[in-house]
Amino acid sequence: MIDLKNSMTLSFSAAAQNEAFARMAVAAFIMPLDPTISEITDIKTAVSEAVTNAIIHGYGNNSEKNVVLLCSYENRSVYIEITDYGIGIEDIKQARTPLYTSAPELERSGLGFTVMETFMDSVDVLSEKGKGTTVRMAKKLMDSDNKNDMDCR
Amino acid sequence: MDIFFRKHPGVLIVSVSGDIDHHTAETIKRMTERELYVTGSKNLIFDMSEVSFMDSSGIGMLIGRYKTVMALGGRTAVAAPSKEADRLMEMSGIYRIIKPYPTVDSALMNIGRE
Repeated sequence: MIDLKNSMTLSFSAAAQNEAFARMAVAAFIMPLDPTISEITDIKTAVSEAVTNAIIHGYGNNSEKNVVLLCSYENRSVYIEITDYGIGIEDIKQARTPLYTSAPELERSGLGFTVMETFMDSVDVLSEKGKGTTVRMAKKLMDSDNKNDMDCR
Repeated sequence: MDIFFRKHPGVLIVSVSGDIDHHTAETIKRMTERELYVTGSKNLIFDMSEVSFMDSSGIGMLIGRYKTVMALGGRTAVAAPSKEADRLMEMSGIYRIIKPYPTVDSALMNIGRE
């Protein structure tokens, strides 16, 4: 029987091409839980949003900095933590407001946190100005008994 | 991510396959803006049938092109969005300004003749 408790940590350059790496790494890591396609898509999208925020807003696209990604699961609950040591968020409530963006000139939609909140069960943001930001997200995957039905929909 | 352009009278069709994220959205933006300029098209159709992943960077990119095309007096449409792209676009509310069509042909019939 698979030990359903596991964790991993990745540290990678804050470079845009690593957004795909980060979400694919998380998707591969949770594969032993046999998630549904829609659960994988939800988690990949949320990871992509958080990593993009870290790269663009936390580090201002400075690829010499590093983003740290922690992923763990216990039974069917997946926990993800994405940290940057960049500029931090001055007003977290404002940053989480749908359609708010601090970088409209970069064609940001301001939907990053909204997407994370929609696709994950919980999203917590810890930030300190000048020190960085950590986004903690969790999602409970469906029990094996129910998911065959969902995959057919 | 791969991008392919087709030109119909007055309409530029942009077919995107693969992932649309912050990294690739930048390329789609740059290439589409150039192609709009070169072809002189004023309407834009994004064929999203082969999009395997999209995050909110894709929404930002689409809204950016919608603004470009609107300034030219044209319209933007999305055709045949994949399940992955459709879910995010539906959630974002972007369909209120960029209408989805089931096929490229139906999008062409609706926006290409104006």
